[in-house]
Amino acid sequence: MVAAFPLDLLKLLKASDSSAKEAAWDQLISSHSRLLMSVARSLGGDHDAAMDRYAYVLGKLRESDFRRLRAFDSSRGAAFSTWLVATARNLCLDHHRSIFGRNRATHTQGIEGVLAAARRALNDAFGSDLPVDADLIEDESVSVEATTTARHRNACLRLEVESLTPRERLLITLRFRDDLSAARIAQVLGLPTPFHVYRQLHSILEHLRKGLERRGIESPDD
Amino acid sequence: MTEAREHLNELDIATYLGRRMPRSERDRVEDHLAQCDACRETVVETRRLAGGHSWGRKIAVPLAVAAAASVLFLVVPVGERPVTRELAAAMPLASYSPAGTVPRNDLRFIWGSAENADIYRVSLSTPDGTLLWSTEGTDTVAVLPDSVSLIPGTALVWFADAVLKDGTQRSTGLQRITLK
Repeated sequence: MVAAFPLDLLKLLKASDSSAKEAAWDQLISSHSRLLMSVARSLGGDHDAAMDRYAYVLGKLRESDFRRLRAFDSSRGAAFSTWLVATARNLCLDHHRSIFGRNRATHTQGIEGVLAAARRALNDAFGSDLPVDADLIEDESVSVEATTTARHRNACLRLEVESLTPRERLLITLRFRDDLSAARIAQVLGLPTPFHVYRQLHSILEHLRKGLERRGIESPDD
Repeated sequence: MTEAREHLNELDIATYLGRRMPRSERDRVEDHLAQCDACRETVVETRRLAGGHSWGRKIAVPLAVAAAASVLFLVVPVGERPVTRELAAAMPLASYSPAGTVPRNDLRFIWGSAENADIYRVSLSTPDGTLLWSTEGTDTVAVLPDSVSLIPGTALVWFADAVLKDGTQRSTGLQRITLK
């Protein structure tokens, strides 16, 4: 379903002369300035720092005859305000990096982050009944046998995590890696209530536990 | 599971939060989000800052349903923190029974059917979210087994979800009852 294309954006992009363009730009920014300021403030710092970021965002949105704004596409159902927030936030981060010299990560963390979340979830839920402690693998003081066992458990956990759906992997990551509340997770995933989050987490953990049991991992000595 | 190395662009994020992605595309995005701290943080923060702009789908509904439905704000304590939940007018599953104060014996849950439903799930919880019982099936009626012991005078919450064939869900939302 196509989302509505904002009229003030349309006026800006279709403006025939510079004065019409400026008037349309003023109107667009007036409609969204509160949202953009919220984004600028959300990255911390004092009022001046937020205003610097805000000004940077406006400058970038204007750049090359509003090239970034022209890239907005409502045909896939994206809401303009949401797109604008995501764009403004990334611009604010770019501004921050330009000052402090840190580069954005160019790659993902891969499955290791999801595995860490799954380990924590299982340990929180089942205590020492299902130890899959990756630290054992790296600990030189631990015996070869214990290291081998830990590697086996981790390999089994990896297989079970890979059998989850993408949404299930995302859910345990949001909860057990990012420590988000069930309410926040429900908002991000579009679930009706936090209860739905709890129920799905319970179901995922049961699935993982049973999967590990089928692979012979039931006690600390397995 | 794919090696999802390229970051999501702003349009991906806005479309994902707009809840209008086809299932296959949603899977691709969620696969990436599970593996990418940066994109996940962007999605979470965008959702927080954009607020209600992307929450709930604007779905065309029959006028009579739209007129009858209303937006409700329900405060439900979850653990230590109260949360507010907005009941989206466009996505309800009808709930018929039980409601109000009910006897323990023959506690029967009845809800409306949803077109293209693949399976229904019903859950009974305490108001703080502790799950007491849950079952799923293709019927829109479920009876609480005698093996689930409940204390008279207790406040409880139940809800039923329909999982549709396209992977989306509809819900009755939280239904409060009190045991006699």
